[in-house]
Amino acid sequence: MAFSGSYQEGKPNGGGQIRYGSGLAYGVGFTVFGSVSSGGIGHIMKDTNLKNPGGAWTIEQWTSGYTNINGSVYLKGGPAHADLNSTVPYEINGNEFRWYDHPGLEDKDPQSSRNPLKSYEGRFDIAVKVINGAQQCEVKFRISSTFSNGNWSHSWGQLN
Amino acid sequence: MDCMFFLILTAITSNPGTGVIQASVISRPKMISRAECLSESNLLDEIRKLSSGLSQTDFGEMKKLLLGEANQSSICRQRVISAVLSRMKTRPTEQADFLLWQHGADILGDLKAVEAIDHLVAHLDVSDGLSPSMSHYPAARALIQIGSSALPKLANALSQSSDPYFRRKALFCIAQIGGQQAARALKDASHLETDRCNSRFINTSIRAFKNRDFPNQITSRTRAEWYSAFLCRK
Repeated sequence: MAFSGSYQEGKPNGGGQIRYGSGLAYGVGFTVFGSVSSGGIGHIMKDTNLKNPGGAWTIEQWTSGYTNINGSVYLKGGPAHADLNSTVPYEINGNEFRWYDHPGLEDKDPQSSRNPLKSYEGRFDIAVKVINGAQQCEVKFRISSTFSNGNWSHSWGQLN
Repeated sequence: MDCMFFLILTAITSNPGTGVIQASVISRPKMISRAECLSESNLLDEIRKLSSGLSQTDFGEMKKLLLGEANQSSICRQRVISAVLSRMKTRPTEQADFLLWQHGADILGDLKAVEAIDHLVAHLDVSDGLSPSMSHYPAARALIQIGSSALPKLANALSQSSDPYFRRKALFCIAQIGGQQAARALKDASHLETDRCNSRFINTSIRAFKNRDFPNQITSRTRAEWYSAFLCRK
């Protein structure tokens, strides 16, 4: 897991904002990267890796999110849901893989009930895995972002 | 140890401050009478669960049941699709609604529900608003799973919508679906598109399609540049 540096230009790791089109997304960017010894990566959760459809391993991300926006709870936490597919920024080269995510809050619609933003609390418990049958590697971590009094703050750390 | 993650937790707190497919293979359903389908009340009971906080295991079991039901006959399939769509009528305003959209779109995508294409295209911009990543846009995800059958309606949306952000999401789906038909749609769109970001995204997609390994597909090698063009940092 990388919470510093960047996945590529425009996709920074760590707390902050990313700009896209005319919108901004606030939160914490992270890059998941790793490798398997052999067998290749065949799937991005249920999507097939075109380059190696027979690959033995599957990369996965599971997320349970809690968000409170302007005093209203939007995500309530609860069971983790599948949170990775082939529409995310990812790269797979043989036995190596990496992907990028930036959970937090999108600020794209001035008419949204979320604007003006007065307060935000977001907590995301995330598990990333690479699985091949009974074999698996897993890292769990928590990302938190808050907005109050006009300031954003972010933190993250590994979960046991 | 056969696999590993590289763990770099260089800091645990940032400085507070400025806001800074493979779809399931569905065999062709055989024609049997409606009487052999799940009863109306049982079907609605299952569909209602879509908006509850289902665990992934529970959702997996429910999806298996609904996909199995849809595979019983074309009538049963139609009833499943209609029931799912009926629950996805309104735009999500809270988590329960969004979960409904996420789960419902997942089922429609796995069913390759061409009957749902119009509704999904009309709701391409539905998201939970938590990330600009397209994995947070369930209708887009379902359309990509449906694949080439969705291309004509997506191409039509490009010429009909005056919203450049909406068009960019349609372009994303077209490029991600890929194939010769998608390449033609992108080329046609390149002549009509007026938004600078969208034009750049179209050109980047067309360039990415020109590769030896997987012609007319976005490959891993060009994906990062392609995704950057989609996000279009002005």
